[in-house]
Amino acid sequence: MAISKASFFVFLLSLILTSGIYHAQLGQAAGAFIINMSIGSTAERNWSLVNTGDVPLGYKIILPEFTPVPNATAPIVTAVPMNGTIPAHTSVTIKVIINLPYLNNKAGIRWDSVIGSVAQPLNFTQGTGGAQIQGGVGKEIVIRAQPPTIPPLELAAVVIAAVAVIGGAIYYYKFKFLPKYNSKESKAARAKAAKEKAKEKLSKMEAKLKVERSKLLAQARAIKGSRGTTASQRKTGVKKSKSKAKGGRTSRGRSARKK
Amino acid sequence: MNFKTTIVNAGIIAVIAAMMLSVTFSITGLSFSANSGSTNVVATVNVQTTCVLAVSNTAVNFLTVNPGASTGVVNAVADTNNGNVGAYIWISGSNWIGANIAINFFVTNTIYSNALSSEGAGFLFNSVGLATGNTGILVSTAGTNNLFFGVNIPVGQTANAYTQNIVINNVC
Repeated sequence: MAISKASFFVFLLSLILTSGIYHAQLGQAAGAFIINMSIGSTAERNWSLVNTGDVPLGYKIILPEFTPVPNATAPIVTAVPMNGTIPAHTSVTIKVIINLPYLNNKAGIRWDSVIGSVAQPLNFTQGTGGAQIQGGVGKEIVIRAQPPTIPPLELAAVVIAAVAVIGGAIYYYKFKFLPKYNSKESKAARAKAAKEKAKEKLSKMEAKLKVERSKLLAQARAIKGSRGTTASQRKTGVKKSKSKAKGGRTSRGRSARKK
Repeated sequence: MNFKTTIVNAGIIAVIAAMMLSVTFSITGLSFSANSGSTNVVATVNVQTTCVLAVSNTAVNFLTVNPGASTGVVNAVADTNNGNVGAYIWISGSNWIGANIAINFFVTNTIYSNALSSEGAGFLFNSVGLATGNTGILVSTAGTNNLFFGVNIPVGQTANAYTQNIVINNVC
């Protein structure tokens, strides 16, 4: 009798659970997300989920897994919120955020997958064996990569920065640098500096000339010394006159030859 | 002089009369509008095209199967679309996990078909994958379509109780 009561209770419970699942129905607005995206950009889409049943329905988002494309980086998809509860006969909006990374992607690549949402009845229990079935709806996401573009905001920021830098430079040159540069003090200082520089240069040149002069003098002295002695004289230590050494082309020599 | 005065007086009277007349008209117009009870309110509503999914069961028990044997594609899950537009069934699954997670086998051993069949292993049934895939099975508006599941147990698979998640999505 006790067993039959227990089995009846189990039957009743399963009936309640089944009826709950049957009435909890998850739906969505039709139509795929077909997005032409610039490489490196982010897009947002609203995804409407509806509970057509008579009882509140829990849901969980299953993010898409894109089939890998060789030498390319798959889009990154996130959803907000990732789970929640939809009251009976009510719809919620899920924000789907898609980012197409700049790295490795080229224009013309096509990505295709499905973002899913599965119903999780509030009385959901995990099975102990076999396959657990999770039913829901899915939204196809098709992404076509377009050439990258500089977002208008960033472009504006770059232009503003460039204008600011150039304007600043012109302002500084015209109103800060030039007046100072053209002032009497500045001119005098510059003239003084130029004078000092010239002086320094002159003194350097003088020093150089001095060195060269002393070198030349030393050379001259050396040449003079070498002309005044012969090898034999250097040996004996006796000095001969130039004329004798060259064969007696002196006045005495000439008179002797006449005789 | 008298004649002129008469003309001026007549003009003044005419102007005053015209003003009174206009005031009367405007008052009449206002009262007419305020007292009217036949204002039309146009109500519009745009009905969204939707697909809705309800599955018949949340679990499939494949019972006890020998290693190297198949269950056949006999376990039905009914997919009902209560929306106003047809939807294709897409499915994905997870690998089979044993009580000890060190032992498992691949999701691709789970097979499916839209037709009942006692055959399993060795036949060209579609396999469930980790990534969601289109079954090509269309569930029409307010229609129901059965999806039959089976599992091929790999040769030499360790005796254990294994579980898996199968996700069925109606895509529209």
